[in-house]
Amino acid sequence: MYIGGSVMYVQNNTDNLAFEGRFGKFFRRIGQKAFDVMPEITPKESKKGIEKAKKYEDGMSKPHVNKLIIGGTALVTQPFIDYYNHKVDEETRTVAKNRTIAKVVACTAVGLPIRKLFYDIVQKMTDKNGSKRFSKALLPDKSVLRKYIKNDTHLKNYRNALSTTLAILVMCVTNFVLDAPLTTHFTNKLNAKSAKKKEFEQKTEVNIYG
Amino acid sequence: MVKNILKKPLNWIAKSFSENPSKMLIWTGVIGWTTSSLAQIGAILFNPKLKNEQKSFLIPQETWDAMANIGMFFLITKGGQLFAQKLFETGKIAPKSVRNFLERNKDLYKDRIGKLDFRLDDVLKNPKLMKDYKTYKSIGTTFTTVGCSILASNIITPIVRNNMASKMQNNYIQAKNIEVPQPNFVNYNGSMRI
Repeated sequence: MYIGGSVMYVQNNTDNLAFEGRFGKFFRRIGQKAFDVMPEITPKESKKGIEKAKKYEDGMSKPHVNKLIIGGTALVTQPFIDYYNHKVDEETRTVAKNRTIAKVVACTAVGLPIRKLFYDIVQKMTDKNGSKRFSKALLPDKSVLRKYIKNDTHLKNYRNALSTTLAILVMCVTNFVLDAPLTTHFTNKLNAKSAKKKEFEQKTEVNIYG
Repeated sequence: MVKNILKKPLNWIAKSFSENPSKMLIWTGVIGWTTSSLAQIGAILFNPKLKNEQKSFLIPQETWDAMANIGMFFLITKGGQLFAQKLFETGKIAPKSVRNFLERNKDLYKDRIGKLDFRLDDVLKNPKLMKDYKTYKSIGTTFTTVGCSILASNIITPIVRNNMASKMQNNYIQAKNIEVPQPNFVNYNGSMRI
């Protein structure tokens, strides 16, 4: 899922994917039509390729790695989209572009270590077979564990839900005390740089009309 | 005592989300994006180095960023994820071993492949086939979800938020009767650079 720049992947059980009601039936009909026209695909089997893809998949499923991917691509696309928004004047465009760069850098710099910290803590403290002092500290009661966490997918979902909840709680505070002030600081720095650049350009410009 | 206080929320998370984690997506997403946007709006409002005309664009831009992100997450990211899952579940995309199994049993499954009520999870009993199927499904779904989330939050959301914020800034400028330079093409201002 995406939380302020991060996506959490969940092993969803789509048994309960309900297509009920008028809208449900409408979407089901459209979905079925799309599926009907699609060809059947059989990917090439390559042990090496699958192992590589599995490695990437494992990485991408981690909240902090995901934040890095989303933050990195945001830094490439979002300032570009802001700067080429011709519906506003050039000064606003430049400020918007600078603020976007500042926001992405600040939010990634703060969000990444927080996500990694809680991911690692939850991994270490939810070990069903662990023997260390705190290795089971964040697991639920034994009766709940037996009833609701029956396999590795359930455990993975529980860990993701817990680490995301903890990270969100902390980020409710850091959004105000770290992300926002850092964004302001970087925005003002970048705006000052842009103003200097523009001033220099104006000085070196020669109007062809004299 | 402390252990009991801690166990209550842990039990609740396990009961609520270990089997169906998508339920938590709405709340954590809304809380995350809303608090982030509120903090950013505050930062824009109290930044003395920004002009009011610029604030009249940046504040709606930030507000629409949160709303568009939430909307696009459910529309594109979640939609893409479900679509990819269904492609694997209905056998539209299947590894060679599973495809061979479906071919061998075409009397049973030929007409059911690609039908939304067909689920390979219920059909595959062989552990090797199940493992192959789950591996491909998991990889395919994750890669699709990452692609969709990049598309949703880093391409479509900025376009939507900029469009909405531009309209709101125009309204503000007209209401306040402020003169701002007309938007023009980048690097073209009737002058030549040396």
